[in-house]
Amino acid sequence: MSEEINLKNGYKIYKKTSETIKALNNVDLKIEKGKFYAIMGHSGSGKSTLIQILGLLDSLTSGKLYIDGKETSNMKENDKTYIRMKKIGFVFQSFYLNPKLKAIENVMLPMYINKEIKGRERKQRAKDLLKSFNLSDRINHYPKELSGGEQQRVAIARALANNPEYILADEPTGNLDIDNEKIVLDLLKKLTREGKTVVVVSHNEIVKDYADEIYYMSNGEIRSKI
Amino acid sequence: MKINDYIYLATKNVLSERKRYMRYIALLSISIIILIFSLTFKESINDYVEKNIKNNIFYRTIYVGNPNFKRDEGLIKKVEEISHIEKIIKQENFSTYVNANIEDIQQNEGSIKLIGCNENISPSIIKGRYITDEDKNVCIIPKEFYIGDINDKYNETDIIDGEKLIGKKITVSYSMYEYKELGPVIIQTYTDDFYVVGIYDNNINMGYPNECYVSFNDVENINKIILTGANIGNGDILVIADNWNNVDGIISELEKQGFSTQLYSVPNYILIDIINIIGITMFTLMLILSISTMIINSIKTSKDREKIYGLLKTVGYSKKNILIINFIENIIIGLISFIIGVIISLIIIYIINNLLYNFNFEIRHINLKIKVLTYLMSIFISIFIPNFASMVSNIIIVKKSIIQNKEGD
Repeated sequence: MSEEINLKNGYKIYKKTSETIKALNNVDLKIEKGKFYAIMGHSGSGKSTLIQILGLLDSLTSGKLYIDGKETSNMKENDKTYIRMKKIGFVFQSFYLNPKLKAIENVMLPMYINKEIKGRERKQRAKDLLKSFNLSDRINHYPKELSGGEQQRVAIARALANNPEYILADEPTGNLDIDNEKIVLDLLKKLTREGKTVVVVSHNEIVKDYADEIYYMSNGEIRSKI
Repeated sequence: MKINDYIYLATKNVLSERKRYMRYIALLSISIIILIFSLTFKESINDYVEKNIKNNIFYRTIYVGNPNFKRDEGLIKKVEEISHIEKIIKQENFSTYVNANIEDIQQNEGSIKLIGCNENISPSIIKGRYITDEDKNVCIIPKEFYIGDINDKYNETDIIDGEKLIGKKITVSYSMYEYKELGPVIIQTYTDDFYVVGIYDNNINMGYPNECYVSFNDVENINKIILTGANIGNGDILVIADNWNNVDGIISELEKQGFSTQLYSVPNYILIDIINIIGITMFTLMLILSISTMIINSIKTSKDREKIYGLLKTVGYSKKNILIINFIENIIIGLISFIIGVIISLIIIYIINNLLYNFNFEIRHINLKIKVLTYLMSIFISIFIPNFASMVSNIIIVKKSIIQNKEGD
């Protein structure tokens, strides 16, 4: 089975009362294992829509999306949920942590639905992940007690909780200062060296320095590839 | 996902959001208090009406007029064939008047009325015990006891606390008469001691403060003396129904057989209707208020959690996972609210019962009491309603896309 994400003739169309918006307009994209992909473009180019579709957070209007060889458009919701749990880790610009849970509890959250990680292992695994991101002394802190960079690292640790193959990040450095930007991107790059596939959507040019492949989007289409 | 993981996450959610949930629990507890109170009020009023008004002895007692106007033992046999009759008494054996005296109690000599009773035909005892057909020379007296003619004016100071007389003796005296043209002449006077074994509340039993209850045999024996030589009368009898609901049926049967009937006493139907209407109205309004508060709060709380549901879906939780977690959260919240609601309800009811008792009015004896069924209904509703209400909104929320949830749309 091929370990890749493959999007063919992807359309995402929103119909408003007076107009039709093509957020994705006949997009073809192949994401191969172990690489760092950057999808760049100005605001409204469709890059966030693209990554949400790749991560099964949203669905295509038409076209086909293959994840590890399995076509997802007619998949049952439970199967998509399983793929999200097992294969994909998502990182958001706004971190999207549960503000009422401590850092370690946020990281443990995806593990409860993973039968392969038993009760006692969850906490240790979460600790190990946070330790690898230099957050050992912050594990019992709530998100509001963490800096932006620390919160994003917690979010990445959470995304890795179930050891997924793909990490999809939507503007992961959008709310960070330059120093933290670099820390987070370094972390994401390190993941590709460990065999994971990372897709980062960003308008920030600095991401290009980390990417193995770069796609530029505009008006819902991929205009160029580097 | 294992059940203990669901419980852990649900408990974690409730604890981590306790500030928000405290408001919700407070409102839910109030709803439950209103619900418990409305059910208790309705049930207690029903019980009160059933026990103290409808099944008061006097409301179950029917005078039966003998159409032959002469004593006839066959008459009683005819009446005995009618069903739902607790007891048939010759009129002269139902009650009697005697003089009474209590030792060591000043200014208490006068006449009292002795009424026959047994454990099934008796006022409700508030302390002591009931009298059986086998008892002899024992009596049940009013809690506020007065010895004397109740048609005379009497002061509050003339009232004796019946409770203090339990175990003590009341000496009664009565006379045998010779009935002459000019009237009855006392031939001999008899005395008897009756020991007080119980007290009843004459206010709720519609009785007079000088009415005491003794066994039917005691009344019969005294009347045998008093009425010796007297023209006993026209042989009317009293029929006591086993239940107030059967009175009309008995009257109908008696009248079919040619007897004339009259109720010994008629309950205040207007009062009963008013009490029932008030009870039902209060219950209905409170139930509606209670349930609608629960529903509104449950829906609002679900909406507040939409973003969290989106997060859970993002990391791989299915709709089923989320709904089960929410279900268990609602059970936890429901149980907490139920416990708080019950404790506060018990306190309020205790206070109300004590306040009511200070009213010098019939309603003071209602004695609100929470029944087991009320507890069961309340716990069921406290768990079911929030779950039902939030389930509807949750299903709508989890059906939305993750992006919609994330934006809190």
